[in-house]
Amino acid sequence: MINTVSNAIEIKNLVVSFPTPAGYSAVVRGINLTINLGDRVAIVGESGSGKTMMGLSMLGIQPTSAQVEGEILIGDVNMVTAADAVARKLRGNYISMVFQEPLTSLNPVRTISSQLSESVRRHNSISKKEAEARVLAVLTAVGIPAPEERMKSYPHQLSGGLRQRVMIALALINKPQLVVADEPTTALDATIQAQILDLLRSGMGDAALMLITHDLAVAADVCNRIVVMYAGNIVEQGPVAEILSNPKHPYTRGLLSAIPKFDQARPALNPIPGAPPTISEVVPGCRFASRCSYADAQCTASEPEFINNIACFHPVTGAVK
Amino acid sequence: MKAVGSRLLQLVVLLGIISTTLFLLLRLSGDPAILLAGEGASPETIDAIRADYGFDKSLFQQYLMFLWDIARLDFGKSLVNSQPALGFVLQYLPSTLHLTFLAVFFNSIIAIPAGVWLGAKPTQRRRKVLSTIVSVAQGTPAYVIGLLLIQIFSVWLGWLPSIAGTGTWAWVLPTATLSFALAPNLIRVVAASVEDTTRQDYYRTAKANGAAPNVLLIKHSLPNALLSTTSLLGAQFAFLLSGALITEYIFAWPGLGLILVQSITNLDFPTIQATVFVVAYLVFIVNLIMDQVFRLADPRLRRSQL
Repeated sequence: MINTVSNAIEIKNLVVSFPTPAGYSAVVRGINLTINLGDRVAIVGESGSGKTMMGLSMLGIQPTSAQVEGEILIGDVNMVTAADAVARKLRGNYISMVFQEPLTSLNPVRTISSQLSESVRRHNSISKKEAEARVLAVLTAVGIPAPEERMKSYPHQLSGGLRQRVMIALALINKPQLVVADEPTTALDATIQAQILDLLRSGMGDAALMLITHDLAVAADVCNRIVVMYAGNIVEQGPVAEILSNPKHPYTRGLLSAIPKFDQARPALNPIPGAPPTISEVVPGCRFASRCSYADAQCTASEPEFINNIACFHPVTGAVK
Repeated sequence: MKAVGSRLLQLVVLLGIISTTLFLLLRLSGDPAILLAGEGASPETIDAIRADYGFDKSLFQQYLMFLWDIARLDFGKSLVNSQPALGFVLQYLPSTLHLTFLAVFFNSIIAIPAGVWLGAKPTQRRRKVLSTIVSVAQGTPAYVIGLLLIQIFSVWLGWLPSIAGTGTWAWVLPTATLSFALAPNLIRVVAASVEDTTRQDYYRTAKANGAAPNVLLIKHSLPNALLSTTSLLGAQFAFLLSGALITEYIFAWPGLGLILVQSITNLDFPTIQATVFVVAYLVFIVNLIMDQVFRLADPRLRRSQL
């Protein structure tokens, strides 16, 4: 079904918009992104930057009111235009997703085992017993203690960390090529966060990872490439080391300096002033211009194109202090 | 067990309130002896009744006696036929249970699929169907439906009997009347619950794992939606046990509703009291059963291994 290709997914000029009283407004505004097999890409941005909507539309499970344009190519299937029956065969099988809230994201009235084996048996014609063996194997692989017992549990009987491990197990159980993880650690305690990040870093097998996060530190910890999104656009991307040591976009620099530095005597928070434009707001130039200290007349007149991994008229050089 | 205990406590409190209210009502509606004796009774009869029932004692003493009688399940004798009131009322219980089960059953098999159909794919057209059904049916009182059904099926078409005990199919019209009265609410709640599940995170998770629409509905929506519908079913069941007054009356269905209406008409206080207490016990039992149903159906309420 899927031809062997070098990339896990290829997104071309993706636009996701929602109806508003003033017509359709885009939350994802023409994104191009390719994720290679085995790659680990972090999508970093504030809430409302369109990163979650991009993730959902990659699986074709965006809200029904959303309008998706462009191409999302998995092999030779375009998820934007594919019939539901075709897209369904890829979901949970070739591409899967881990959500932010592990408690509400699992069906409360069904056991862990029944939810996981449902997904296995949907994509593989195997017996109930074989499916259960696979469930056991994957629960063990994601580090769930006493997995035989936990299989019979209901979601509410597990701790938050275990639930998120179950979600990851569910995402991995059919050995997908790409896992989209949407803020998988945001709802968890700090100590549990570290464990889940460990799992995402080293327990994913061959699957490529697209990690959606607002936290640059998490992105740098788990991924090898960072894509920075702002108000529906990709504004900068590059290898982790490059982005951390030499960020060029003023927004990326703002994000980096907003991370508290605890090695300083008095850690100060450096928030980026202002707020991103709302989705229905019409901004003629760069959408970050109103918050940017480098902005000039050119920035408010026309929108910078994404060239050489950056969308900015005035890229900055040098490390962030 | 803790739940049963708290339900029992509720029952005791409820019975206390009911008995006090009944006691006060009986005493407030004039001299009970005159009331019990009925119109045109001779003063001697009234005096005899007053002594017999202890109405010559102080109000507080009477109240204590009243409570003591109730505690012993002694509601006195029916004023109509001199049978012990409780036994008299209990004769009507099977008939009400029969009608209640029929109505709940038919209501469920019609309203639940209809609600699922409306809720699973809430298109503009289906919404319109739903709101029409609900507003028409909820705006029509049970007695109108009952009389209309009798007019059509008994009088004009002559297909179905309109009076209980007059043939194998006598249950059809009262059941239809009750189902018609209960269905709109059940349809609305089922539709809303099913629609609500489609907005839940677990529904999205199942979708993200490639579940087809019918799998989403059967394995993910329904178990959750029907769980939230169960409480309404329980409430409807309790309502039927106590509140099918009009329907039972219209169809002369020999149940608790009919006996209650009749005993109120006859000012047969012992029977009214007995009926009210039987209904209170029944509602208590239904609630107890519903608690257990919830415990079985919802794993979050099971107090097993943790």
